[in-house]
Amino acid sequence: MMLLWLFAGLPLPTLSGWLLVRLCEGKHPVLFRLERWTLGFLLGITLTMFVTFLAHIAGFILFTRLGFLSVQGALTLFLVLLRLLQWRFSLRSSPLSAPQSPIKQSPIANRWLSGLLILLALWTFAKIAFGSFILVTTPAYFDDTLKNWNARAKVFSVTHTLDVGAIGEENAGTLSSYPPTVSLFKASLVSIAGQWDEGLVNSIHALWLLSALILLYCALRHRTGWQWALFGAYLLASLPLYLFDGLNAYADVFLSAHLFAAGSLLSSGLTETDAGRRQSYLRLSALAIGLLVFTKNEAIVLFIPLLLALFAGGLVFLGAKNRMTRRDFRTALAWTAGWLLAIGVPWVLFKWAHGLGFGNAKTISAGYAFGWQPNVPTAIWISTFFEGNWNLFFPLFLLVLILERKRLFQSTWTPLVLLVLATLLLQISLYLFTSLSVEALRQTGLGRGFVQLAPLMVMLVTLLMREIVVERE
Amino acid sequence: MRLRLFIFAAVFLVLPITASAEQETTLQLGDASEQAQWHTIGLQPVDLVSKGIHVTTSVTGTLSRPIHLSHRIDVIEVLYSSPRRVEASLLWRKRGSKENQYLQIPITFNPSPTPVSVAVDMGAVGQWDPRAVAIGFQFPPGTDVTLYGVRLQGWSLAEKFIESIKCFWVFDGLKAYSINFFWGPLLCDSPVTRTHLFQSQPPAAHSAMRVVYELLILGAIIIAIRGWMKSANRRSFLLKFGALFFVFWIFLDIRMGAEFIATWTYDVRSYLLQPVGKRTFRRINFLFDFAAAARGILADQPRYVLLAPTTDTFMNFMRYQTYPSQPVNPSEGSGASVWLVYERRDLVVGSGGQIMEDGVPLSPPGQVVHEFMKGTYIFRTTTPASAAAASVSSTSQNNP
Repeated sequence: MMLLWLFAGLPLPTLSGWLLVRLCEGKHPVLFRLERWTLGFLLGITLTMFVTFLAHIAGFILFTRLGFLSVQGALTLFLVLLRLLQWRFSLRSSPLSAPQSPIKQSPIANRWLSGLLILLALWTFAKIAFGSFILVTTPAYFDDTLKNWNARAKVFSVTHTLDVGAIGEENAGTLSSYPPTVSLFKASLVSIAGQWDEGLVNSIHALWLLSALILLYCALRHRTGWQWALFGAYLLASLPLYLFDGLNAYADVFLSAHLFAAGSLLSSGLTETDAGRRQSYLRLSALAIGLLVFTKNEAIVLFIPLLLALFAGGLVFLGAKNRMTRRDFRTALAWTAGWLLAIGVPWVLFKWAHGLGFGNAKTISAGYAFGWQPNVPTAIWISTFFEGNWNLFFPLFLLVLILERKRLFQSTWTPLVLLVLATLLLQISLYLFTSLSVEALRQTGLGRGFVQLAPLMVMLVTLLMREIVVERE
Repeated sequence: MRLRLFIFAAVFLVLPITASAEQETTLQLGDASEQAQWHTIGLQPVDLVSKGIHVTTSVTGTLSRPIHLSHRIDVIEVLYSSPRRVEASLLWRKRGSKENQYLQIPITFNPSPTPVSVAVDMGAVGQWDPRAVAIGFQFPPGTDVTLYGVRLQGWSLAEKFIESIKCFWVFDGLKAYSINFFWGPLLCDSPVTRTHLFQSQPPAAHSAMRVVYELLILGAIIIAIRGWMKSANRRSFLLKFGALFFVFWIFLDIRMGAEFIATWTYDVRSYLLQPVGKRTFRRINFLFDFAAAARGILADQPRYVLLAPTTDTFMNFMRYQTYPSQPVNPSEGSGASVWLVYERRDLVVGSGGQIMEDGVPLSPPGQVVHEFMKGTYIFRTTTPASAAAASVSSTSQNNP
């Protein structure tokens, strides 16, 4: 019964997210309805928790039921008003809204293959359903859940404050350096429910997993038929480590969904030919990049610099090809800088003020060594190709890259290719040339690093496979 | 008719590999004739006792013997007893190698007053020669081991093949590392290895992915040759290879999905379907219910001492479960009046009312408030904190 409180804790953040996403789309809606609600759910929670964090450090609220709900209520109201203003304005200036992105028609697919796909979808659904059931009916078990995600949620729930260093262990300071979104949302559920419940605080992770799958499906659906989109979602859900992490109270799948939203929206924006729709995509990607700051530490040091490099490079390219006006250029820049500064500055200042690090469980400044790390290539080789983590994904990834090598950098997938390859290269380089190698050698962070990138990689692989199979027909 | 012929041919071909089923040779180290086969290098004279060979040494030394068996050796099982843990090496000499050229792998003799066995799957060891011409042990200084027997087992190719298939479907339970990686499907070729598959880390078995890749390459070659013979184009090759690839993908998905379902089903049986107090959860057994039961008594305690089998997992779990009351180690426990003892059968409450480990008091005097089972209880001290600390200190000093 306690699980029902999840449905009391979700509507306001999700509605806020939906409103914000719709506001970003403006006169040129580019998302499917399901996609908009899913993105609203994902980004809405992160946004709401960021505003809650701001209100708390400003001294306006405590982490109580009243505190959480007042922020959520005020934010929703504010966004409703903005949406009404936007609606009225768009009615006056442009009575006809632009059509949604065209849905690619599915080719007449082999019935046998469609049947197989549906069977695989059912099998995947059964796995997710069973795993979710275990997630909400058993105690928290794995290390980071006990030491970080759920532990901090408990601290927030009990102390009603963002008590930096209150977790009670030697890692308290390090763990407090993580953005509090995941733990804070758990605390908000507990405050609404009135008591701590393991199932309730863990249940949200299953929804984050589903949101990643739905967002991938929809992103593929914009570009392919439903069979390919479903196939892509199946590929992602059949990666054992991704599925398992998504069905436990860890935050890597949560981060992967945010990274996917930012990366796929940015790729769409940079390759969209219609100016209005491109601006919609770029505004949405700006929001997603900004909120990425408030997910996990890896986002600031690893993903956001690469996303910004891609964004800047893309704008310069579009400008050089005269595909983008100066006004659009400045607007896109302003949105991205605006969201990044609005979210990044308060959070980074808070970190500095409290002496919190930026690394992944280890501070980057202290004791970081640089240089070649022996044995790491073997560890990566075994982990990616010979263990049960990734099915046959990495051989498939390499195969499609080789087969499509001539078109990788000359097609609409180029931004996605660049983002995936650069991120992968940077991740692997960190293990090969820094003391983070211990995460690869002990297999503590290597696999979960790839989990964060998995949806983008699967999207790329699915699109390239489709190129190989369909385009050459 | 063709089918019958095919079956007959298949049976005819398979017969030879099933002919030599499991074979074993046991070396009884208590027999005088057997003892005469063993040679020592560097060891002090070993004791030839009636049941085996007793090795005590203050220097590194080896004990070995030549072997000439008619069957291959895949598993070596050693029956021994030892008062303390010994990190020794298992030696072997390959066919054709020089007289003193031995290869070695580590073998651990855990302390046991009564004879126990340790089995090593040599099939999973690189450089192992199943027809080795000599085997032996290298013992470090401080060794005190009695060897009773050495069992050398070998299996036929058919048995190994069947074992590999069974091994592929052996699942690892949910361990602390499962959130970071899965060993995935493994291949082993003896029932001994399969039985203890995930008990050693890393498992003494090969990744089944090797075979998957080999089959994929073989499949690609066959498809390419057939395509070349029929003058098929590149796309046809890619589609057929893609189909083969995803057959393996789905197969591996079923394998890993089955592993998840098996472990979750185990959770249902051992935890969800059992009554409170009897249910156990993964490695921490019934710590969740123990924490829930202790929460009441800890409500007004800022900290308490936790005595559990290992520190990290149990401490993290209890820190989370009993927050804001914090668990500490005995060394940091000054002032804590509640001591939680979990699955520590080795600890006893002495006549002085203190929790004792190997005769050394760990806690101030007190009493067991509630005992859940032997070795698991809630203990509350009865003396003021400062006096208690002094009491422990003085008792420790007086202890010889």
